[in-house]
Amino acid sequence: MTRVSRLLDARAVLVAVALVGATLPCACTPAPRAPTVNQPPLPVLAVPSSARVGEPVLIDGEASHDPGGAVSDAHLLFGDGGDPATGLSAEHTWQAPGLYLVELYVVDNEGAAARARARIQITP
Amino acid sequence: MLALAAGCPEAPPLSLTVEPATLAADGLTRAVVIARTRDPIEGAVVSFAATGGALSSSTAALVDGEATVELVAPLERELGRSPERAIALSAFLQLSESERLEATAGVVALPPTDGPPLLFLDAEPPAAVAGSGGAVVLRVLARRVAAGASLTIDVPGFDADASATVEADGSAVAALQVPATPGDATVTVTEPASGATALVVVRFVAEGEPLYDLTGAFAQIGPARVKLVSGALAPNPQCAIAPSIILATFVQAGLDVQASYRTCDVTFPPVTSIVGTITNQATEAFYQAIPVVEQQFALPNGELGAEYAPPPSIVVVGAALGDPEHEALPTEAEDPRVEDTDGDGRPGVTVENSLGGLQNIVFRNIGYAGGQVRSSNRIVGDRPGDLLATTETSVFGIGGAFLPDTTALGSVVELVRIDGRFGAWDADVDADGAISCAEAKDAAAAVAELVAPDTPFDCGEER
Repeated sequence: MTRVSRLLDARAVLVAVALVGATLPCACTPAPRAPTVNQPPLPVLAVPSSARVGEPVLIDGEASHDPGGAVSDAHLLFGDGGDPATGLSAEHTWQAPGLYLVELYVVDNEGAAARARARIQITP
Repeated sequence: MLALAAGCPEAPPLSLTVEPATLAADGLTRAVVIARTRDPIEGAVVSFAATGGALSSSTAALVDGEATVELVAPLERELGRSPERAIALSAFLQLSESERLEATAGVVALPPTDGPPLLFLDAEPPAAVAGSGGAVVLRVLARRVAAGASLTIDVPGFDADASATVEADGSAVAALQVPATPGDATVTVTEPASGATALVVVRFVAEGEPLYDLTGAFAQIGPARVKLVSGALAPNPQCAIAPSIILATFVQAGLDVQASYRTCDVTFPPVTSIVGTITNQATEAFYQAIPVVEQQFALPNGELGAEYAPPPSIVVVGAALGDPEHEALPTEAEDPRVEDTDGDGRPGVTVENSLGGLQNIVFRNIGYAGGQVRSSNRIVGDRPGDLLATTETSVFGIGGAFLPDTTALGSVVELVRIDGRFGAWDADVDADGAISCAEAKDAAAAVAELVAPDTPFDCGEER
């Protein structure tokens, strides 16, 4: 065996080891863990993509939930400067055409908060 | 090589990806944001944040090692004149009181390729002394206008180029000759095919007169940076950005300025405590209770770039103090200095705390906002430290345990004209001749350009 071929063989071995190693199950995969502190709530906001001026629109956040407890407080903002609504869902009517940002804030029973956002196009 | 042989991944504990890496700033296009954990974690929720656009949710449950949300693109007006806007995304997962996984990623918002043409127009300089000779350069940025197209330029009563040709990069340049006598030149540039226009007013003043006129309404946009210290925080200390919007109204006579500042919006940063994330929400009555700050000061000279350095603003809400700057805040509701400033029947002013519900507080804010007068339409404080805002809060009741001590970190600030004068953004949507706080807040997102210095959650080097 020449010196060159020995070097090529050595490199082939290294490559093979690397390839085999990459396909082996991970020897250091830890056992599943779980958080030990309260996790924030999960807001879910359903908003139609468009509606007309003056048309009542249902903003639905009822699918919102909290993984370790309960949603205790919620507010909806409609992006038009109007008063926020309390609760997960509300009906709202926009008075001018435009692209509006709707926001849902939810708070869980341990005080963690989260927000969901969606845009709605209001046409004349 | 040993790591490869053992088959152990080198991935970070939490990673964040965004697909696609660019998106059109049309307010509708979406990017998918995925946080992945290296190790199996059950029952966890990942929290997300973005510096632009709108996240479909600030939280998402971890399923099979992935948590997914969507980023809705910002509006084109939020790009301003910039050819692109970088949006920083971050995700974190709080595993225990002391263990928090974090990851960051980025996405770039670009001007939409569809839609009508859009023109921006700037003058360099925005003002000059009449009779001083030379010319003002008119710089146009045209979006969705073909290279080689001709734009018409109209400056009634002044000597200016009548047209400008759009280059491949969307830019176009024309000249406006400095006149011999003072006057305001209203420059209108038009793309004839679509009728799209942009306007700027160039001021030509008499020798010795200020080159700028600040009289009018401005939005003061300040992404204040604060360090929060409390035994109930995890980690402790925490650093955060607390954006505020103030409606500033100026009356300028010579170099003397009479100013009033009305606080329209303050975002209390959420804090992560030993019991989870806590948010504080101010009520409308809270903002109404913040007094308007009136100040008089003089600018040092009439040149563009003059230092804008009003006295610090000292505001105490919820109590009447003999020495608003130095006197200790009341700690008991029965303290005779406490006032029901927001008129809700409770002592002090009321904020809603996500943990403790309605909290009755007294607070003091000492704020300094300075910068340089760039034009009649814009004051820019882009040096970290041009904005320093310290807030001190006294809470009546048990909620005080979660209200941290706050130390100001240097940040940036800008004041942008929003009353339509001199071709500026006109926020007066209801056309009643006055700018309201609601109108200032709506305009702020469109006119803001400065970005706060990097502020690591755990304060980084500023611990």
